[in-house]
Order: sequence, then C-alpha cells, then structure tokens
Amino acid sequence: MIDDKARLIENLTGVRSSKLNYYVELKKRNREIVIQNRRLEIIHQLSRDINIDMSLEMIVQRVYENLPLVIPCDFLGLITLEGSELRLVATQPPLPCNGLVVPRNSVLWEIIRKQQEQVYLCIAGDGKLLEELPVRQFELNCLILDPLKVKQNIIGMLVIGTREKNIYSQNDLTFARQLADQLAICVQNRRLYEEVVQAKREWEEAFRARVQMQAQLVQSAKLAAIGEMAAGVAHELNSPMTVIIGNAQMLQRELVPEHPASQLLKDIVACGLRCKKIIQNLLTFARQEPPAVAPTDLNEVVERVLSLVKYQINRNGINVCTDLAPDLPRVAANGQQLDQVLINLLLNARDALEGVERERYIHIRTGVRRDENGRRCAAVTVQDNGQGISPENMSRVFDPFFTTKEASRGTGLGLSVSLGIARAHGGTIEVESRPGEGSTFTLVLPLEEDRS
Amino acid sequence: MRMISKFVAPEIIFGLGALSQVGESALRLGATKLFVISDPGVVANQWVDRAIARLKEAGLSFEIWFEVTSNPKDYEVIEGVKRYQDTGCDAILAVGGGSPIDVAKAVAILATNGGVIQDYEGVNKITRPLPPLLVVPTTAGSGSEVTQFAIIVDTRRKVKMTIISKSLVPDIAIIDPVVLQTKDARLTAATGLDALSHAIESFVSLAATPLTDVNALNAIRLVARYLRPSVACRSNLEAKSAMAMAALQAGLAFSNAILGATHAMAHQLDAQLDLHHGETNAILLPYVMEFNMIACVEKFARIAEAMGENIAGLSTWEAAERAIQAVRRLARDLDIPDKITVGNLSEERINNLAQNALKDACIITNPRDVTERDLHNLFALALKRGIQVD
Repeated sequence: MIDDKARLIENLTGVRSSKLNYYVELKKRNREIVIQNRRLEIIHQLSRDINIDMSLEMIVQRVYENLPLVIPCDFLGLITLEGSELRLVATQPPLPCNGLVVPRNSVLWEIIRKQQEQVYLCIAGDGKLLEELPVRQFELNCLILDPLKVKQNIIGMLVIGTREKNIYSQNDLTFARQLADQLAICVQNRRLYEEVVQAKREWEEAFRARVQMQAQLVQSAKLAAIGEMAAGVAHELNSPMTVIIGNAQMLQRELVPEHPASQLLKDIVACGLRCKKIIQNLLTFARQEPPAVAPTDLNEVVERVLSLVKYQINRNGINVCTDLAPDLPRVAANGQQLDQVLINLLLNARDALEGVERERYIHIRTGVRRDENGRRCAAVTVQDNGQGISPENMSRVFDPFFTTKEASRGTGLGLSVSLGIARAHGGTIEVESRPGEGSTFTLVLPLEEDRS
Repeated sequence: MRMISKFVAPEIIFGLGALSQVGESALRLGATKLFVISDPGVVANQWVDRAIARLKEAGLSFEIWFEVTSNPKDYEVIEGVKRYQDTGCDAILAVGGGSPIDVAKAVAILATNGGVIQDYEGVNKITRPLPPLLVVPTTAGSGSEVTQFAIIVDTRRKVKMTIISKSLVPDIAIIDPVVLQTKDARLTAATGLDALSHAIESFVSLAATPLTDVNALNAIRLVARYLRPSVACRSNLEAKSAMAMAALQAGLAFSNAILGATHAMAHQLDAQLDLHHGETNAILLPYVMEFNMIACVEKFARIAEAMGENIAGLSTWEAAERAIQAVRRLARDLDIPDKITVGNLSEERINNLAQNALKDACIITNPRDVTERDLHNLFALALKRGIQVD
C-alpha cells in the first residue's frame, strides 16, 4: 500500500513522465514516411511487372528483394487456388517444395472456405498450423496470411513470415493487405495472359484443320460423284452383259461340246457371269440404305470384297492370300458396312505396299478370339508387309482427315469411318505396325451370343 | 523523502501589457492558423479582440470559438475538436479563466491523439505531442496556464475527470495583470482563494520539493497581502500584478507538487452541484487544514508566518492554528461563507461524494492518510444541509 502510494506520487510528479516532443515525433514520422515510400515503391514495381510476361517465381523474387526493408520478413510465399487444389507456387528464399499441394485440413483452407478477406496473423506452433509451409525449416514465429481476392473470389494467398515474435503492427497488416491486392491483380493478369495465349494457339490449330478439312471435303465430294457415276455405269453395263451371256449360252447350246469354239464360249459365259457378279456387288455397295443388321458370315464378306478389289490389287503385283477359319460363327452386322470397312483396309494395305521392293503380299485371316474385356469375338485381320506407320502417326491414324497419302489419293476419312462402323457394332479396330516391316489391322466384332 | 524531483514549467511571459506578445509567440511556435478558445465573459471584455488584433498583425489566421461554460463539460470538448479539425487549425490559443484553458488542453489532446476525452482520465495516458498551445489567463487563480492538469466534467457520470500529463503544460503562458481589472469583486475573491488553496495544498503535499515550496510560500505571502486590496479596487494595478504572480507561482507549485484533499473534495462538489470552484475550495480549505494539521504542524506554522501572522513566542502548535485562523479571516473579509449551502443532500449522496473523492488523483499527495470515513466527516462539516430547499 505504501509502495503503491509512492509509485502513484512518482507517476504524478516524477522523472519518468515527460512532455512529448514534436521533433521526436517528427523524426518518427519521417522514418514512417521513408518506410511508406518503400512500400509504395514495391507496389508500384509490382504494377509495372504486370505488363511483362513474368513468371510468378520472378515476381515473388522481385518483391522479396525490398520487402524486408519495410516489414519484418524472412519468408515470402505465394499460394494459388487451382481448381480444387491449393498449391504453393513460389517462395523466397526458393524452396524445392514448389508445387506442393496444401492439405485439406490446413488452416489455409479454412480461410479460403470462409471467404474471409482480412489478413490473418498466425503464431507458429499453435497446433493448427501449417506443417505444410516451411515454418520449421525457417524457424518462423509469426505469419501473415493474406487471401488474394479478385471480384469476390479468393484466388490464392500471400504468406509473409518472420522469425521474430509478436512483431507485426496494424500498419504492417494494412500494407500486407495492399500488397496482396496488387499481387492478386498480377496473378490474375498472368492467368488471363496465359488463357489468351492458349486460346490463340487453339484458334490457329482449328483454323489450320478447317482449311485442310475444306480441301478434303472437296475431294470427298468429287469421290462421291465418281462413285455415283460408277454405280450408274455398272447399272448400264448390266443389260449388255445379260445380252452377252445370253447369246453366248444360246450359241453354247447349239454347239457340240467337242467343237473347238465350245471352250471359248464357256470362258465368255464364265467371265460374263463374273462381270455380272462384280456389277451386282458394286451396286449393293453403292446403294444408300439404312443399315440393316443380319447374321453375317465374315468369310462371306471377305469373299465378296475380294471379288470387287482382288483384281486391282493383283494388278499391282501384290499377292493376296486368305486364311479363313472354317465354321466361323456369324456376327450380327450390316454386311454392306462391313464390306466398306474391309475394302478400306485392303485398299490401305495396297497403298502401303506401293514402292516396296520386296515381294509384296496381303494376308487376310478370319478367326475367333477374345477381346480385352474377355468377350468372344470374330475377327478379320488384314496384314501387309508394306512401309508401316511411323510411331508419331500411330495415335492419329483414326483421326478424321488424317492422311499420309498425297492429296489426289486419300481423304483421311477411311479409317475414321471404319472405326465408327466397328464401334457401332460394339467392336473395334486394332492396329499394329512396325515401320519398314508392315502393318496389321484387325476388325474385331463381338459374337452374337455375347451381345445382349 | 524523494531523492530526485522534477520541475516542469512553460515559457512564461509576465508583465503589464504582455498580451501584446500573443502574435509573436504564436509565430515562434510555428502556428499558421490558431483556434482561439474563450468564454462569453472574456469576449465581452474585448480581451479576445485585442489578442486577435495581435494575431492579425503577425499575419496569422484564426478561428474563434467561445461556447465554453464554467466547469467545462465533455460535450463541449467534442464540439471544440470538431471545430478545430473542420477549420484546419494548427495551434490553439486559450484566452480566459481555468475553463477555456482546460477545454483548450482537452481539444489539443483529442486533436492529435483521437478518441474521447474519457480515454485520457488519469496519469500519463497521452501518447502523442499536442498542437502548440498558448494560454492567456484572465483570472488570477486557476493556475491552469502553467499546470500539467486539465479538469473536465464527465456529464454522464457527473464526475470531474482529472487528466494529468506533462504534455498538458502549455508551450507559452502570457500573463498580463492588466486583464484582471475587468473581473468583479466576487470572482476576484473566489479565484484568489483558489490560488491560496493551491499554494497551501502544494506546500504541505507529500510531493513537495524545495522548488515548489519556494513558489508556494511566496504565493501565500502575496495572496495574504494583496488579495484584499485587489478585491477592493479594480484598478489597483500593483495588487493585480501581485495576484497574477501569486496565481502563477501557486500554479507552478501545485503542477509539480500536486494538491490534496481540498481539491479532491471540491472536484466532486463542483461536478455534482456546478458550484464555483474557487469558492468551494475557499470553504473546504480550513476544514481540511484542521484535519491535516497533525501531519505537518511545522509547515502550517510557516504558512501562518507567510500569511503575516505574528507567531513570535508561540508554540509550533499554536502557530499552526494561526494559519487556519488567518485563512478563515481572509475568507470572511471577502464575504465567502463558511459553509456550503445546498438543498436536502441525502446521506447516500454524501457517501457517494466521499467515495469519488477517494478516487481523485489529488488525494494521493494529501499529507495525512485519508479514509472514506474521514472524507464523509469533512463533507458533513462543510455542508450546511437542509436549510435551503431546491
């Protein structure tokens, strides 16, 4: 009590109290103004750097150069919100943990979830904190966590840390807030810049594809016209062919079998019938009807297609051999469409053999096998020993309009349409190839009993 | 006994016609626009006009505000700060008695420290320098022109808040006895006795030092000799000068040695009943002196001597009693009653007054330890109760 009174008297009259001095205050204010100027410099520097295509690491590095002059700072970290992940994208001093994903139970996530904008002061070592941040590594004691906000949305967080204890003033927090606002603009602008660059790239690609597609559409229109014309021609050929066969057969009946012309007539009839068959198949193929599904024998498809194209292929000096499985189960399919697929595979094989010096062959096999899902499937394999497909093109062979052939020959649509047909039947087309050795395409179709 | 003491005082410009120094002084403080605080009485006497004329001569601009009442209130301070800030002033000039000067101090606090005046109640609560503060006292009593005190009424709690800080010592005090001529006899008497109570209380204070003692004793001597002629004749410039010096020295003494129970009690009565502070002190002082005498008989004997009593051949005790008699006689000669007349003051209210007085900063340096019961008894002695009805 007595001490207390003495202390009170000391307070009232004593040497410890003093009139505050304007000059002292002035010096203090001057110091504050110098610091404030440096702070403005940093913020100004940031706003300048936005214009440059600068990486976030670089931006953080630039800020860190001057930051310790204006705020206690031994660590600076930038965290961005990418989709559903919080990621530490840049730190100063630089750390190998860049790209580190912040765990869901972190206090950082709490701040993001609450959408709170104000600055957070964290004291290291208070349980909740931040094992994911390099708190221990730098022996940080105080952290300012400042969400980066752009139009109501938090896009990341700025972390300023120091080894000193209980050091940050209200003034520091205000500055951190301003810094974060500026940084948020930087990060956002960088993102927008990247988006623009990306969009430009995509647009250019789309434009190139469009030019190519247009050329190919012209080409395919031409092909369609030729096809239609060919169908017409085939149809027209039907009548004279009937006359040729009929007349030849009438002559045959009038000749004794021993007559020397008999064999010739026989050949005329046989060739005529073969022509008719070819014409028939061509017309069937050309007919534009909705696909009708029926039990289809793949062996028959092979025979039918070969009757259309074998001559052409043979004429190129290519040896076609078949190895058809007897008792092949039928598949539920549209025969015409399968014809189309097989014709395509054969013509591709033929083209792949062009210019190949060694003895050239196309090997067609049918059989039953299991696909990757374990289903029983019927398969037609077309193997050639042509030039093969280069590895970089392997992934693109089914892309529409992708072709390695010269413009007058390929549309780039064949394999893509074929794959479409195979998929429509619940199947697929497999491809294997070795450059310089040849390719193997396999049409795989699930067997009827398994399709349900 | 304290080994180290401290004595704080403003720059003091004293003398007949010192008011003419206002402009120059303001310039020296770096002021460009002064906020002039006064009260209606002073404005009517044209002292403010004269001060302003000097400001104009010095090329300074200013803003006048004189809505200050006696026992200045917290809401007046709020209004003052608002005016100060709205008008872009950078220094304060107070012209008047204790009230305008205390308001000026309070306005200065809030102008640079912010908040409300209640935040600064107590000792050393101010953290930033105040704007330059010039004061021209127009009464000889309050001593506020040189002290580290400001007293403001908290109207909600009905208490006088004591704000103490070295920062409240004005930068320049301009003391011109000429301005005292316009005060009427009653005000002259009340403020003179206020100065006497300052001098006596600081002289016997626990925090008294040789430097404060010299000022206090001289103030007592001057009051005893010149207060009567000063009250008696307005134009007696010799008496006015002496009283101005008495008030100044009493102020220097109590600013550095603090006061005692008289002021702790007076603050409560002033706030509750809006009485005149000088008169309240004058009435309370003899009762408190009687209570305190056993603590410092020798000092009381020296007071008696300073008051002009013949103490030759008297025992110290008898001499000390003469001091109290001399104060009573002086008050009687000046028509100051020996009791405070109030209507129907309940026991509960006296308890309340005693409780608040015990919390007042001035009680700390009273030479005799004081309990709430002591204060209760002293209030009871000084209050003539139930005679006048509200």
